[in-house]
Amino acid sequence: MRIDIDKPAPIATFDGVTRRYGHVTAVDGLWLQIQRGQTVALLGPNGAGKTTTVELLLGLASPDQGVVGLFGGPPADAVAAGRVGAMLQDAGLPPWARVAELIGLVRSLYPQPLPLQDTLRLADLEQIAGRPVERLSGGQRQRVRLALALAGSPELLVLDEPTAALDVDARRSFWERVRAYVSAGRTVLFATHRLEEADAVADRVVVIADGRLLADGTPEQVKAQAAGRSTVSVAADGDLPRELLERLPAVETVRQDRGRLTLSTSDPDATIRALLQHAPHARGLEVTRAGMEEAFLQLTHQEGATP
Amino acid sequence: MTSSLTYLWLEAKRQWRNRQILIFRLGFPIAVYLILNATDSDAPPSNPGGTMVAIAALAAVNSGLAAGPSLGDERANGWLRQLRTTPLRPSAAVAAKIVVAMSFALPSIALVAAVAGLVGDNEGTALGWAQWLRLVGLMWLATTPITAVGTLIGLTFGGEAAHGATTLAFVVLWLLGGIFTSPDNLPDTLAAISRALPSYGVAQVGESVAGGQALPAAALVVLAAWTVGAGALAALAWRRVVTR
Repeated sequence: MRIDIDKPAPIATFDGVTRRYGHVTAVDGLWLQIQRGQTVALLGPNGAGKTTTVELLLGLASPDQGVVGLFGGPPADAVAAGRVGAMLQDAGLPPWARVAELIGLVRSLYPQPLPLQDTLRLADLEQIAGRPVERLSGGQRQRVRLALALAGSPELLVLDEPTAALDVDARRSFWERVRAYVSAGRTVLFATHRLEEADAVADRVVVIADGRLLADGTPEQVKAQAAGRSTVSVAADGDLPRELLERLPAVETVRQDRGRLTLSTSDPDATIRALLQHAPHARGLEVTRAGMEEAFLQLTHQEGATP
Repeated sequence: MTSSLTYLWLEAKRQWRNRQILIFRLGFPIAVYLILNATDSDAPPSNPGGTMVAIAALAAVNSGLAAGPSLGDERANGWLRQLRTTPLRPSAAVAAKIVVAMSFALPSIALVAAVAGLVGDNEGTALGWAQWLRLVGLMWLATTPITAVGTLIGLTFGGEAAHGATTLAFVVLWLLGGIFTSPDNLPDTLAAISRALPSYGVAQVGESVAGGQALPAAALVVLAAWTVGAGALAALAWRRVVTR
């Protein structure tokens, strides 16, 4: 499903994009459009293809099939025109440069950059503007990398797992800074594996796993899609064939783990009735209403299990 | 244009700030010269300019290849990919690395020539001021292809491999490239290779100035070919390196 805000032309498009690395299909037939002004979370577990999606969007990777468009042309053109700013995962900084010098460099590369002071303030770097890069802490480096993404005042801000190395407080202030930047109709795409982060920050959540799109909508819609699931768990006895469990009503997935079989189900009552009918001696039954994280994991696992 | 200059200026500041690298780049050739000068001062120079020109060419190689490890490290730590998400043009980035390497080559060559003029027994003292300046200036310009090779190495091999490849290139250019020995002393095949290496061109330019002769056309062709070839390959490698 899509969000339609007066149907403006999308600024970024993935038209049936596939990208493989050897035998691994990192992005698998992805169709996606991003509209101006949206803050989009690209949500998925590790290895879902988030980074490859980001790289395709920035022209750092090229698709094997399909077309990626950015501002109506190839990504490289949009990057060359200074319409995009990016914070890549684990990108290093060059030693023997000072913070303000690096920001000054990026500002000089873009046609209409933010003022230096605004950039420093947005990323909370005013106190360490003159500090050499090699003497920065991890959190300070992260803020410098954010500043480098913002300094050019790009129309589209792309952030790949930007808070992965931050603690809870630093994460909250990071997103406050991004929000302060975004207010003026700018577009943000960020990759994350944290559902609560997508929920708190984004106005649209795109869920991917194994390179495929699983869900797309407002955080509420995606949560509704992931929620409403429960797990039924039962002791794994020899006379309880897995195939039987997979055929029970409302069952979506079956996992085996430490002597127990765990079923993900959208209707636990129906599942249990049928289970006891087919296997009256089943023992150790447990029913759990799935939490948000678990529901999200099930949503992604479920799709990952299909060949 | 101004953005390319900003990148160039920042690159220059960054690399000149690193004192350890500075000492190695400027001090190493002088140390080699002083050692050689102390050991074989009685032997007549086998070529115009003698030890001074040979070690000035060594200085050119030592500084000219400097972009290799620097780019290799930036490739490994992701900074080059970060730059690739900005409007910085690949050609401007490669050109900046070449210019900064050149900024080390000039004082490095000049210091060897100056030390040779002060303490050398025969060669440097024989040169007048104008000839000395001409020698330093032309050998410096002849260093351009070596900086292009350094840039190409850094973009082709990431991280540690770039350091290793730079060392290998340094040793090859030193031993085989007309610095350690003249191609005339090598078997035919090696001599042909030696004459096609850019360091031989640098040494030839120095010898012709020291000997008061015209610049050798063959050496200039070799230097131009290396500059164009390695420079173009480096610009291509920049695109390939950061795009997966």
